[in-house]
Amino acid sequence: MMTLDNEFRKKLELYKEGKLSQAEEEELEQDLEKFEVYQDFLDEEFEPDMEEQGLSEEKKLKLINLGRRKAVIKAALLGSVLLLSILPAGTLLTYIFYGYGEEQNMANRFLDVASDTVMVTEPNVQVDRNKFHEQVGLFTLSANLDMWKQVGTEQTRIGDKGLNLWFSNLENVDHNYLSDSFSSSQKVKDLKIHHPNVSPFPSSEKEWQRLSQLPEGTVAEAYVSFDKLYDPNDVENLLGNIDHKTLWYAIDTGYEKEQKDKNGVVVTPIGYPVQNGIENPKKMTTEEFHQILKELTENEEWSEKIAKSRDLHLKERLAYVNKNGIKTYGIVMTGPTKEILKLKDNKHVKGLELGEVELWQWE
Amino acid sequence: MGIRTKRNHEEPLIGLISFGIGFLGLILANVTILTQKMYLELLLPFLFIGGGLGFISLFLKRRKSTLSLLGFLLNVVILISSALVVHYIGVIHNLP
Repeated sequence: MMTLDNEFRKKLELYKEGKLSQAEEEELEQDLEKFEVYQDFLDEEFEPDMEEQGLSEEKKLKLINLGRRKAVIKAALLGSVLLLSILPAGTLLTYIFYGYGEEQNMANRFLDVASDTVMVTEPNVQVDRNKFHEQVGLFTLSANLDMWKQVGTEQTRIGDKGLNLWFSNLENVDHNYLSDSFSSSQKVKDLKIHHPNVSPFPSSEKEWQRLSQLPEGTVAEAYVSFDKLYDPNDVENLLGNIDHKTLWYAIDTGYEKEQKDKNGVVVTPIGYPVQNGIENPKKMTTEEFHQILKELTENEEWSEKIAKSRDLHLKERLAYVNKNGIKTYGIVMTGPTKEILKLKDNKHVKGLELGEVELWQWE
Repeated sequence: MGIRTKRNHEEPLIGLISFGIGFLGLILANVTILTQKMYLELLLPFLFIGGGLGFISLFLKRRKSTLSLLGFLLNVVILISSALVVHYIGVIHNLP
């Protein structure tokens, strides 16, 4: 080490006197540059000890406190970041949970089931798919569906359903109707369309009387029961030449004759609208109804809660429809009251119940 | 034995700025979720800047500082999360 040191010193002396060869000079200069880098590093890395700096006790204490404060602030910031990350991280996970799967994601499937359940289980009631109000919260999805009913040519808002999903579990459904008449007309127990083989078949005398008392210039919603089962495509021919609009077909699914299940619970009627949609309605086919029934069967738990029904028996009803085809035993229709009254003489009409009545809105 | 302070352990200024932007972004993300109002379009350009600064600060010093690293990560994570949420809002029908 000593020899090396002496050698280096000698070289430095010779360098100073300019007695080194060109090559030796360059080699020495490279070494000197290296030492400068080492020196810079050491200067940067280690400041002299406080004691070496000759700091007073008071200054030392100040520096220690400053360091401590910095550490506390850093820990507080890190803690805050962790706390503030909980909500965004949870929300992101919720969006991924409901939105994963592109078009076939859980949120869309749930909204489709909700709107289809209303359309299929509530006669002449539809949900406006363009005006859903959904909100994704922390592990929740809440949706509000506006329900509409057609009387005459106009759609009337009758209320809404508030649905709350916690993950995939439908926690509660709020059924809000704007008036008691809308609420009672949608009650499962108050069946308005009857299967032809229901015994005894309820009399419609009072309803015909009420209808005849209504003045001209009014339009009404009527629940019509047929004398037997018909193909939905034949309904218009059965009704003859009266001015009306057919709105909803009641479909025979095997439970309508008894109107109750094995446990004596009233079974919700099932059917489908002639036109699907509020703003841009499209004619609905029996195939589409069949497909919807399949999808509701796959999501029966949601459907039953949305439909206010203890048991929709969708599997059994789908099997019945698969076996017997899609046949209707009644319809919901609307039109001028005097036109509807003409159905009294129609041999295919076995019964009628009056629904909502409005002032004239017709083409 | 004396107490040693190491200059390289001090946070670089742009690292601190990056962390500040990321932290503000995190607060704004919480406000967005709680109020259900979109502030992300306001936030996104800042997140890009914050992420960029954080990234630069990571390469400025040989020893990485905690807040610079956190700032960089925060900005990048919020950016990716925002993009994901916007994507999923798009695939769920009718959500604004």
